[in-house]
Amino acid sequence: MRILTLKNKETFTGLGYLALPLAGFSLFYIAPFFIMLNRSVTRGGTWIGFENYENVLRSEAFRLAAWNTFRFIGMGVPALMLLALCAALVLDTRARGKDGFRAAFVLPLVLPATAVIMVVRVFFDHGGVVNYVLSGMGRDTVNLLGSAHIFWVFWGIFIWKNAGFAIILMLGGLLQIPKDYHEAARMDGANAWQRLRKITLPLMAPTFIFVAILSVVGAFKSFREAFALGGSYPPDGAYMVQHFIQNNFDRLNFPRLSVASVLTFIVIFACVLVMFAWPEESELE
Amino acid sequence: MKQLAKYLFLGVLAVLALFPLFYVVVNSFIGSAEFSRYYGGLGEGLTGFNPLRIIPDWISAEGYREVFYNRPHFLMRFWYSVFLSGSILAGQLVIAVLGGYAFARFRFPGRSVLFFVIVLIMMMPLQVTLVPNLIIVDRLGLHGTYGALILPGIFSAFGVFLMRQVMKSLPNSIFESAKLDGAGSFAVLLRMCLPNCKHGLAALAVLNFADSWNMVEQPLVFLRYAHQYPLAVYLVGFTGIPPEVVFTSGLLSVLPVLMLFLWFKDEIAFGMEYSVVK
Repeated sequence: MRILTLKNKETFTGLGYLALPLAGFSLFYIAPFFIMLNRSVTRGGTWIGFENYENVLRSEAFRLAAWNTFRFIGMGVPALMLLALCAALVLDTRARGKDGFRAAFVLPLVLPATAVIMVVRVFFDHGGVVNYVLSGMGRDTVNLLGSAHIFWVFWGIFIWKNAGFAIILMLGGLLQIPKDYHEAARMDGANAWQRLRKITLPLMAPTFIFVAILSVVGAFKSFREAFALGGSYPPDGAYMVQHFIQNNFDRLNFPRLSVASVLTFIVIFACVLVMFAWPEESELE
Repeated sequence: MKQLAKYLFLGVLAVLALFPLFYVVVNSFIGSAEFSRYYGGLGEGLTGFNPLRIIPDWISAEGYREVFYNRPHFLMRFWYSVFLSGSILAGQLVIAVLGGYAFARFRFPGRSVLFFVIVLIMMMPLQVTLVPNLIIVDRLGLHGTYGALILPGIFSAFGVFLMRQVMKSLPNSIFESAKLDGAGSFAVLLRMCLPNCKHGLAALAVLNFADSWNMVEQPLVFLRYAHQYPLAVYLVGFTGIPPEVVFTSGLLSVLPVLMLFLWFKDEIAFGMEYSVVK
């Protein structure tokens, strides 16, 4: 009986602390999401079923956008994580100046898009440094920002911006691995590669999930740079779901907008569900 | 040899990370004459190519004079941005601490479902949440006011997520001993928990401030008039403006975030590192 009341008290206090944040999230995100969901299946208040969904899923623009977004995250996040893991492994070997390196790596994350774009233009614009070097070597110049190549410029900006964050999270994960595991393995004659594969990587699994989540968040956020650089209609290879939503927003095409948002939501929902379902390895529970 | 490779790798990464800022700083001291001589080809197609200017021929404060004396907009918008980012940060810290504390230190039914919702909201791209936000902002009659930027900004899921991770990583002993002394949960939060989360709070503060300082889409959607726009929006719309002004105002607009970053740089790294800990 006593335990029961204790439990009730904990529930009460916990929810008490959560009340204000929850009220705000419900008001600004959860409630309007249902309004949007409603708009996506009705017209002027009457149910029209999945007509809008069919339209959007059939449209070339949306398919292109969905494919490019998928490609961007699929190529960006693993590359970022691999780079971050390597850098973290190197930094973890008691590198001198570790704090300085860490700070330097995070800096790009807080720089405004404008400053980044200025520098990107100087390098990659048609009259920029890259083409200056190419023409100096007697090679043909490349139109980096005006062709499908811009996808890789976006990709580079994403990696550049988020690397520091990912490196630090990886370092945090490495810190958690007890040092004696490595000691014991070394005594048993395991070499560096074996220790990495059998100890470090398996124990880092929860960290990988954590970094993956925040990297996807970062990948979506790098739209700001993409938009500042490529405008509303970048070359086909770099047209993302966010462009699609933004453009329908500007045209006040709310049905298409709502549908695209709901579809994006469904995909992310599925991904997060998978990550939460990772039983013992997930840090989220 | 191995040591050399190690530092070469780290050094290259550090140079890549720091170069853009360095470049903006250097270029903010280049005058208009030198710009037209060396940057003539930029944005004009195939006619000319640009070498990289890392060392100016002549140090000039032309850009600074122009920004401070001839462009009063700039300073005004600077203060709009300070006001907006500051307000959002203050509110966000309160929400993040309350939410993080609830998730990290209490058990209650529905906790994991609610946390799942928080992660979902955090992962949504801005373009997806912008419309829901707009619907509510409109109904609250806030459309066109700074409240439309501040209120949704305060309720950012990332803060709750980060503080939950940081508070979860604190050793239980901190909380147990306070409980034995009969302290209430709020006293525990203020006296034991928060002083031990300083690094997490610093990391959140810098990341959140930088985020709202750099916001572009929200002002464009939630505000009605161009004269209300904060600095970041104003700078993105820069076209046909002399390069010395672009670089100088670019640098000046980075300064607040940069100062905050340098002030807390060790705490940020530490705070993020510990957010991974179970």
